[in-house]
Amino acid sequence: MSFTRLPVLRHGLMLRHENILSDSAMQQRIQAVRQLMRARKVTTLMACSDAARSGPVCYLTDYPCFDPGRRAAAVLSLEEGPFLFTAEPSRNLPRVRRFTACDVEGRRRFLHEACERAKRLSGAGPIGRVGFDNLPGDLLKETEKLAGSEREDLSPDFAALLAAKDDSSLQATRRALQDAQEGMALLGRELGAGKSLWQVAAEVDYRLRLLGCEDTNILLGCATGGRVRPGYPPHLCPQRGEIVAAYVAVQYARHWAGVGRTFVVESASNDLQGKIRTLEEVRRILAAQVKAGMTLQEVKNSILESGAKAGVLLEPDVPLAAGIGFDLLEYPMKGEDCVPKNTVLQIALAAQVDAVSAMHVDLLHVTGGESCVWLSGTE
Amino acid sequence: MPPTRGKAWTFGDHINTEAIMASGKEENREWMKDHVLEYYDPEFPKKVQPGDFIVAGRNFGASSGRPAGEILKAKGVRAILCESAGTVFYRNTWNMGLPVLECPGIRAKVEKGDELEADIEEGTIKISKTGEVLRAQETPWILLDIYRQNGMLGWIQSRRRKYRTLEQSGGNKAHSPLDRWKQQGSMPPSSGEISSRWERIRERMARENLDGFLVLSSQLKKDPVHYVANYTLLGERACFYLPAAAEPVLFISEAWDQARAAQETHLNEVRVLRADWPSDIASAVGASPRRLGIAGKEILGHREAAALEAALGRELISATRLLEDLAAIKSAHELDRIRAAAQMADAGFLGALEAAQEGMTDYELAAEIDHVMREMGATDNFLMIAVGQQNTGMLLPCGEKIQVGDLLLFEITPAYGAGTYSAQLCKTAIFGESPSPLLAEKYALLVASLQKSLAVIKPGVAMREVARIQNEIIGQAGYAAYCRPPYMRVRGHGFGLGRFEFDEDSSLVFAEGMSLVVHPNQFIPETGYLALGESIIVTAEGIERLTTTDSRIYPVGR
Repeated sequence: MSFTRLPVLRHGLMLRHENILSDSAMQQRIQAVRQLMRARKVTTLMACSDAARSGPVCYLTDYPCFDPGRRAAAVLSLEEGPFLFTAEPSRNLPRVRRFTACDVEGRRRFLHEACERAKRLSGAGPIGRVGFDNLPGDLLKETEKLAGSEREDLSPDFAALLAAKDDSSLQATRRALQDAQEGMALLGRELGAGKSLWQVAAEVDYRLRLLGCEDTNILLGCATGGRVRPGYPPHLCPQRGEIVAAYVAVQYARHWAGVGRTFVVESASNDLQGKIRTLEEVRRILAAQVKAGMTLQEVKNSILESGAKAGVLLEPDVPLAAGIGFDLLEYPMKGEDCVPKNTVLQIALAAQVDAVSAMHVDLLHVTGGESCVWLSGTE
Repeated sequence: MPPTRGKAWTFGDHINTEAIMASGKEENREWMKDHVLEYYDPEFPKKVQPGDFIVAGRNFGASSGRPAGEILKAKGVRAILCESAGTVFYRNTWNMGLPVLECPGIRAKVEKGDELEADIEEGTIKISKTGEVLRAQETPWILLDIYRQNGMLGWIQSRRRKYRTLEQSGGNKAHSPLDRWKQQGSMPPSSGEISSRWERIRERMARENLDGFLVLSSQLKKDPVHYVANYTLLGERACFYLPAAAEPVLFISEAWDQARAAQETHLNEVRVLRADWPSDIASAVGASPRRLGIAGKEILGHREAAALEAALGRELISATRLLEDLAAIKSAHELDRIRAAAQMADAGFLGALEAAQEGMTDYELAAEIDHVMREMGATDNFLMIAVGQQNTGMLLPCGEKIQVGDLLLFEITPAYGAGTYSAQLCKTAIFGESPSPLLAEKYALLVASLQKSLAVIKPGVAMREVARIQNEIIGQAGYAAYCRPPYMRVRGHGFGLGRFEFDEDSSLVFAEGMSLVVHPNQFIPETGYLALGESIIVTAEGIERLTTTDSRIYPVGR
């Protein structure tokens, strides 16, 4: 239950969806990581995750850090593993086995135990580290077990590997997006029915939970004019003619997808809706411009150019593009980050169109071909 | 409701509703009252007194669905005590607020005119002349709940009042923050609430010789900045700077959230952090504070922490404990929020019981709980759930379908505004069956542990005492080995900022204004994991119990 990025505990359906992530798909992921390890000449890899950056461990084990206080580590050697280490109490293990791809190995001092395993597996060889920069100082001390081993930071390479989505990740993303779109459609129908935005969000959250999603992120905002941004849903009933900015994100099978739309409540004027749709023209132009291999800054520049071609001045407070997947915000997220083939970017466009604040969020699949594909179609 | 005394009016088997309430005169209520049950006992309509009981044989109220109970209630009958009742009559009559207790063997032991003392809640009937106490069959909890509200109509109204907080029916009668919450679905802090926190922080700063105070929050810990600025974190991070004397500043990471942040916090200055956020904070803090306290530094990655320290150019004094200690003792406003959260937890649980059906999945049940609480304004929920037999614990929904005989375990923890304002409810229900004698016996251990441990709580008492009492009761029953990890961890805890937890080794002491959950949740080999726990506030004299649902195994789906 979440209207914000992270709830205190995710508690939608938490299952390993084997129709999406089969054993062979899991093996392909592990092989891809081992290939990276060989290229970087490390014999063992140790990845750390937390709830805000759950990708590395989740990629290797399907274990999400579902609670802000519950960190995890995974260890993989060229021959063995992955091994999962979390602080999960023993009594939870029968249930944890329902949603992970490997068993939980260490529980008491999970990080310490993960380091011991990494050290043992590496022999005298170098150990690749992923996500260690995000460890707070007190936890970093627990990794002193690794002292003496040659260590290599593989975080950027690993992030790029995750960003280039495999078939199972793309399948999960599409399913999450399908649910998010369904949620957005429901939201549109609920607006103007005399409900507060809070109640609308509650209803959408409920329906999405029944569809089996793991988590939701529903942000809503409304105003009569000016800059309208989605936010924590207020206890306000939107009035006829008011503009509502809505963002609905859904997590399914560990993958997030989000859509953003602008509504005019009970608008009698198709003219207003038409103006809001101007942003869709930007999308059409943009799909042909973005190419795999660009940096994220180049993608952002393309967005601004596409806006200019469509005659739209995009507003600067909304982040134009970033990666989305295991986390709502993931690689590529910095201007210098390279966008690999099969990245899914969340593109957010916001503009004043004839004094109406319009916002559009969609997912762009960077296919590696001539043109990218909007996963949400062209509606 | 307390036990009541009255005289018995006795009747035989198969008394049907047509005989209780003759047909053809339904619209004439007074006539009905004058003739009720006269076919069987002509004295009854003339001499029955308010508070009297009907004692009957088998199948009382047989036949049609005529609302006979309504007339009996109007005559002042306190309860119907019978060997058994017609099923339609039974439910109808409870719905009218008139209890029907089925008590096999009662008819043979009671004569007309005997004085009886009945405790409807407990299901006991005492025959005064012999002193014998009879125990009626268990009444479903929902019927008792309806009875407490004087019937179905009152029950629905109470649920609306209690659980449908956005309903506007209260008009302008609301005065307390809780009443306003029930009307508006939100409970914003008064302007003095946040500034009084700053005052308390500044008092502590002065004592510890700090010139400035930085509070950090991230997605992993949102409560600190919410506590000092009333800002609900949406982006990656937020930082709040409180100088010793000047106006505070809030920093947020998302430019698009700036307007909402300013509106939510009422702060004069809300700034947006750039990529090099430590420099932004350093430039706002400036060079003058020599001793800078910082709360929440430990949530930063070690590289970020080092970058912040370098940008600020001085040693940062950890003040996380300072803030946590202040937050552990709640203000009146905070306690009202926690009371509201406790109402949400009760409502979420009752919502789950109403929704539970055979074949329903655990995640659908979780959605029902969330929905009830979300509509009431819950901003988050720490929910753990288990559906099945011989559970080892509770965790996330995994697609398990409810079957007859399953135990449904819940740990429901709605937050209202921030995790700091949470209340927790731990409950056990059984689907489609009554609890077996074994299950009832083991659950009674948890109930006794809860009641006895709650009884000792007051300011100054060591928290370990609560854990000791619980472990002793459960341990004496032969389960001492299961009162330790990995089976059990703590016996109670607070929430959010100022969170504490306790077991038998705790050195903490209860203080007035603390809020917490006490939960003797327990793994028992014969039954699997069982859940029981409720939220309390520590008062000057003892405790205020926030949970209103009973400590019992709830049979559902019957």
